[in-house]
Amino acid sequence: MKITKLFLQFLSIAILVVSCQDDDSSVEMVNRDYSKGVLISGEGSSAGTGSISYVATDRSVKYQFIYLSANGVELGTFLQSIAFTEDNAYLIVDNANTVTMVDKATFIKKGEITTGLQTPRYMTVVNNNAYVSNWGDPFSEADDFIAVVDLTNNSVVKKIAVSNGPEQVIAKNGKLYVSHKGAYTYNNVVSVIDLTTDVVTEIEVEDNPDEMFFNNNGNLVVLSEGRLLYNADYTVGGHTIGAIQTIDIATNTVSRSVTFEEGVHPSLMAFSNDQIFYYTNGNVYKIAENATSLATEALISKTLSGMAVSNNELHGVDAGAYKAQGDYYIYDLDSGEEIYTSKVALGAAKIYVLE
Amino acid sequence: MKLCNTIFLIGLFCGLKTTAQTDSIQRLETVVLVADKYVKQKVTGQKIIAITAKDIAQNNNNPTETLRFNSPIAIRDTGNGGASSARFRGTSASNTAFLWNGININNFGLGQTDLNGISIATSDEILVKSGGGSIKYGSGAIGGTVHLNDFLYYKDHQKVQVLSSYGSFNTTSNVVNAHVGTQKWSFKLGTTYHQSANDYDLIDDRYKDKEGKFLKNENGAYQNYSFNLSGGYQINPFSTLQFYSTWYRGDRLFSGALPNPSAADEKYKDANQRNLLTWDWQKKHWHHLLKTAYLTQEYRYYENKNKHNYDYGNSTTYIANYDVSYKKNGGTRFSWSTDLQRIEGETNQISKKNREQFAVVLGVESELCERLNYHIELKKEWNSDFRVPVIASLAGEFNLKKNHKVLLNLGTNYRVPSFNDLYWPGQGNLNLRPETAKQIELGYQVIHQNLTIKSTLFWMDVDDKIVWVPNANLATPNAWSPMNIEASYHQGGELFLGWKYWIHQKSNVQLTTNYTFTDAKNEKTNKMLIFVPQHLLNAKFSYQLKKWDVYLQNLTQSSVYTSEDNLEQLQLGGFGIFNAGLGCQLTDKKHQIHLGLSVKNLTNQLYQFSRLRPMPGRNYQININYKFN
Repeated sequence: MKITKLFLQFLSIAILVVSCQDDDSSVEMVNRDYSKGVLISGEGSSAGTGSISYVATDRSVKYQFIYLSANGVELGTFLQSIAFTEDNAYLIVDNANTVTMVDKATFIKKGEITTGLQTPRYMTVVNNNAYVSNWGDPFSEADDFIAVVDLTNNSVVKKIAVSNGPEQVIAKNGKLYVSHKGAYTYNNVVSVIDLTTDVVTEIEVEDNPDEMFFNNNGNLVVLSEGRLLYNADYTVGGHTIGAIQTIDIATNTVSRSVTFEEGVHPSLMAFSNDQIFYYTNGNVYKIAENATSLATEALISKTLSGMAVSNNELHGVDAGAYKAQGDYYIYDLDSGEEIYTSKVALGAAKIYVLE
Repeated sequence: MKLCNTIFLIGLFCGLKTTAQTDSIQRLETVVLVADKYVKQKVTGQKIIAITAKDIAQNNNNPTETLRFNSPIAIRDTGNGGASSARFRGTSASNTAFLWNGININNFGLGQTDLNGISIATSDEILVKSGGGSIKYGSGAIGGTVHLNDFLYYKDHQKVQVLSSYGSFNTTSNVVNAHVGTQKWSFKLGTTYHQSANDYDLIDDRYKDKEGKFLKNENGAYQNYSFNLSGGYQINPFSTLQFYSTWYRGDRLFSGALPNPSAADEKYKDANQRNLLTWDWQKKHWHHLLKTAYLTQEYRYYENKNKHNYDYGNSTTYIANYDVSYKKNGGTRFSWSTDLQRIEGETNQISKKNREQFAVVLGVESELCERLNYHIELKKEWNSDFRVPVIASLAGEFNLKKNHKVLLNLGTNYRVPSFNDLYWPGQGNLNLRPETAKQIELGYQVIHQNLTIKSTLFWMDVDDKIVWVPNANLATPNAWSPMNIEASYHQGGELFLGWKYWIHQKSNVQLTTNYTFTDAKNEKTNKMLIFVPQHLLNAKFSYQLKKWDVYLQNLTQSSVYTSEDNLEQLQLGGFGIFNAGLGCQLTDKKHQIHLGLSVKNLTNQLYQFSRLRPMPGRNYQININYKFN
């Protein structure tokens, strides 16, 4: 019958159409060594999930999507940060409540932690335990914690309750230092956790502390961003100040405060060779680690969302509007010249210089 | 079938209604009153297609599915049942206007309509108009408009439709639509209930759990219900008073994405209510139409479904509208329309803000000669928040020969900034201007008894597009703010084909298809706009033999870029999926029962509209469509 034939023809064309579709699930997997060079993590967005770019130390090669290339799968959003041990890298994806363990050299997945975390942000490793800061429910100020992970089986063994919005974590001498940027609201403390007793001590700093490092004297330098104050009708009514503060870790007190003008909110800080580099509103500045006042002249003018300093070079990334690849810049710190630029991961945010 | 022929020639109505709705089309000419007559009777030079009750019955899980398989709109949902945005011709969701009985119902905060946050199944007529229409339909009518219309019939009648389905993932859709009335009075009562556990397997082989099983679409459950009550009274042969009201309530969870869908715990509740009162007076050369409307919208967003704290927003809109037109027999029609609106909106972060707007529209419409008619319109809007440009439209239709028509439409359209764009705390930008668009389209239509072809070529330029960018405002460093910084151009073509062939008296085949080619690029970078498929096709082929029918349905979409720099690695692959169904119609004088069995995603194909959010694999549904009078 004519109509049956027509129908069958239609069906066969249809099946042909289907079988000719590109199968985007087949990604050619590669095995490379990423253990030396610069890794740039991109947070991702609805345009693409978190991803990592690699640039060789001599900048001769660049690879994008190294996790996807190594594993054939995507990471999820948002790739907040990466923590490293001797052999492994840990990729912290906050919206997916996941930490993925990969081989540090090849980035091939070795394991993951998907339970016991809620909005994980940063991680550091002490002996065989990892400490992961978690916002919990970002709208709740009372359920924030540090997850303690046993790295032999990648399971969360306990949670240490801390105050709102724990962000970056670094450890020294059996103590964990946590900056509380305050999740979606605000906070103004650095927590010090004794890792043998789990006792939490809080040190008050300026509002929204984020980046931290230990200076050459072994003291903790903290960058607080300050915050916007809103009127009852949610118009901006004022600001609290930002500051670079040094904490004497013997006494857990703030020993030095260098404060910013009202309305200036620094967002990035790096430390190299006794020098503190900080970023605010399109400019990078440099001061000595023991300086008591801020720099007056900018070192570099560039919009940045991530920054690192190493070998007398400043690395910066700009995520733009998170809808396309980010920009990566390297500046020579002697000349202040831009010596390298390239496109990197979508939502580029963190730079890890591995040497 | 002669009657159908006449009907097809009357106006811009799509084909393939011959079996589905012959009944209602007949009445339309004489005794049906629609609040928004404009779209069918006076839109000139644009392509309009209709979605029938039968189409809804076949794709009834949610409005996204209904429109995705039956219209030229490209729809992106964040997983099945998730937030869903519609785009015509490569524009955005905020450039797509949804109209309920002629009233713009886009969300006050975002300026767009979430297709999984409305109910459309009780509408007696769903029209999809491609191309702008800001003159009549206001802000956002840039890429195209979707019209949801209710009918009131003035004759002695009683008819009820009950549509119910149950299928995989505990999904059920239920619709009751009842009309009753006399020559004086008319009432309509409708209700819908949709519910789904929506816990389907995410059929991507690359992401499995430790036991090697597919991960589930977690936290994806939804339910919503709506009521619709309309009524009218024919005061005298030339004047009618009508009211329409609808009430909707939705409650859903937002599902998680791969690789760890269990991380999701968001919840969203919304409710809206719309009321419209119209008075229609038509005598001799004059036609007056007075409308007042009162609309409310409300949402609650829970970042964590287990907690009680939420973000909320609500808005109230008051509308008063007066249209008058004058037409001498066979002569030129002059029309004048004024529209006054007040919108009040607030959220937990934005204190109450008001917007007032007043618009005047002038129109002239006439037949230049027997075969050519034209329609010119001009609109000026005064808005309390910003300057809105004067916009104009010029359209014409030329009857080449019997059943063949050439259409032309050119005009300008706009989209005003949303409340969020203007007032978001610390980030909103009070200096925004409306987005503006220029468009030209040229159409060719062939409308025969059993064959309808509607094709159109379009070109459009959208300027001052509002985009949220970081570091836009020095007063709030590191914050994102909206700015009028982008422009895009859109060109392409649309084709609608409807064909029906009677093999013999009791069997026929039918084909309906929408194809759209879109080339939409950013003017600065010349890159394709994100989430815009270049090729989009849906087709439905059905065969009916006596009381039995089978259908095969296809949706084909070419790959889309998800990043603005068009990275190959960040494409969503193209796909072609199929649905198929078998049905049986039992009919007697008063009752019509259609029983159907559908298999959706027949080939169990992995396809997705958002990154890492696969749509359901092969799934099944049984449905019943029962009509009686």
